[in-house]
Amino acid sequence: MTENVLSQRRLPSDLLQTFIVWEYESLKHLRSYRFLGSIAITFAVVMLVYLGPILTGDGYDGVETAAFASNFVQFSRVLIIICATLFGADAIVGEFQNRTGHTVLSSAVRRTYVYAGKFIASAILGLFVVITFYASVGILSWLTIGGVDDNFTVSFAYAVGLLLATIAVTYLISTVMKSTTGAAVLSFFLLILVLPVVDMMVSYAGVRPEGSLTFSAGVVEHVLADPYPVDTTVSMHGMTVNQFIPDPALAAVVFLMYGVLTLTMGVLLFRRRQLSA
Amino acid sequence: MIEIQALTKVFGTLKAVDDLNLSIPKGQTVGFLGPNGAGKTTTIRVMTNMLTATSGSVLLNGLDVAVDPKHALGSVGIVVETPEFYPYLTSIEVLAFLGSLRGLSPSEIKSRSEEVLRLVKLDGRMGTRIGEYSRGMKQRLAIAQAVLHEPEILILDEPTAGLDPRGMVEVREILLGLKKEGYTIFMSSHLLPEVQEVCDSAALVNRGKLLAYDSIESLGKKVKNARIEVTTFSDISPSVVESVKMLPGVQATDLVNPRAIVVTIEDSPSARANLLSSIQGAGAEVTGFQPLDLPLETIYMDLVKESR
Repeated sequence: MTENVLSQRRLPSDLLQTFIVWEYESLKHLRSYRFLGSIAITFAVVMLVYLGPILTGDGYDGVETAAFASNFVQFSRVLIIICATLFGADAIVGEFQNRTGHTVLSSAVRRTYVYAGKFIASAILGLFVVITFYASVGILSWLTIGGVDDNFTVSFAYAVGLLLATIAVTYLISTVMKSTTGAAVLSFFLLILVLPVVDMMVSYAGVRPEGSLTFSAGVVEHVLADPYPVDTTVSMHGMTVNQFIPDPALAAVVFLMYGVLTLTMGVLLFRRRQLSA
Repeated sequence: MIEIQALTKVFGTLKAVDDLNLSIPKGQTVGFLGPNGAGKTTTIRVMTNMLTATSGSVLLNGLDVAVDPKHALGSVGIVVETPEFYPYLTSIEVLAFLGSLRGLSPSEIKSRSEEVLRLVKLDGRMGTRIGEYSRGMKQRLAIAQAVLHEPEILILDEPTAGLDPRGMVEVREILLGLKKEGYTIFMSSHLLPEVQEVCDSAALVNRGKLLAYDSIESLGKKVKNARIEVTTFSDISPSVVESVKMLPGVQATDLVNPRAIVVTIEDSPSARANLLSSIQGAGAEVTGFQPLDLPLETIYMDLVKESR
């Protein structure tokens, strides 16, 4: 051992360690083909939606830009949930279940920055997928009907907000769960099924599901409509069915709050979690 | 260098570590011994910030692990029990990842990685992903990453666990080499010969409590009784057994087969000499005369038995 090597060596800053964790976490998703898989799913969704009207003989004559984009964007929410599950669900729990955290977390690095590096890696890869989706739809819109809807970029901005909030939620789930499979299943079904069903039940009861992430997610599609849609009430078989529309400004706040709160909770729980197994 | 002060860790109703105090000076190699469930791994996990202590503290180079884990662990290399690494990385990438987290420059990472992989005999598998590594190879890689940044302290939890006999010998040789280089080493093990061979001192724990902490030599001197196996050329007659039983200091005899007897005797050179001459004097032709246990094993068994 060189006696004075250590005294001369300085530990990297927290920021640099975050970057190092980000780099190797990204490598995980690239080498496990999760990233390539999600890009492939994106292209498959775009092509299927695009070919649908052509194969049924309807074509795109007279279709407006908003309607064209809306056809595709309704699938963005599912895509975002898939990304969050693929890139976030096992990120933290995997360190405990697979015992890889024993070596990483006993190194000279604060847990907060391990969490941050991992989250940034998942967010950037998810962002690539969302960009690929919107870029593909934009190009097809321009090639097919000669233009792109004015609110298309606004929809993209909301999609990015939704993506970050959804990944933050999956990270929180990953922090509290004990198995990677459990975290992935819970994340996916909670976001795709359980919360939307809760939104629906609350709406039936005549209450706006304000503050719900999945209810607010509707803004990604609704924002393409001009004018912006309003709440409707329909009477069917003696029942009153409410269809509530999320407020765009409130939806942005909901995304922000979910992102900030779940990230904060996730970091605090991760810092306290014991590597006992 | 390493200070464990009144460390206690409680899981529910189980006190895994109970008011443990240990001080390990610089350059010492200390074995941490105890039966399964004694609290060895829990202690090491608290020392390395994997678990938080219920009370007490661990200071590494004067820094409290719970208060400033980043800097306290900056000069520490750790080998955890049954180590795992990201399966999608190669060994050279694992070392690059951990080396950069610990502040090594790219050129240092390159040179040190080659050096430590050569040390643990993994230099031929640098490009192989960890997913294809055997348990023994992961154990060697764990040692490589622990010494990569030339830390002052090495904390090892069962460093030879899961290795085949050849691997155990190789790891033991690596540890002896590191000891010569002046590392402060704290290693848990339940392999007593390993600790006796590698360590300067040993701390014995059971049920979370420290039973003894002294140099291997001093611990050996505390041994009261030894078990000696005597083998003979022809069958041992009952008269020989009776004469052995009558000897001063003999605690017990056990005729394990017609030509071998195990004698539990007060552990002193004169008592041993007396035993040998007495057996030979009774007409038995002695072909073997050797202690069955190492001194550390004997004291370990005595202390663990007493603590129950």
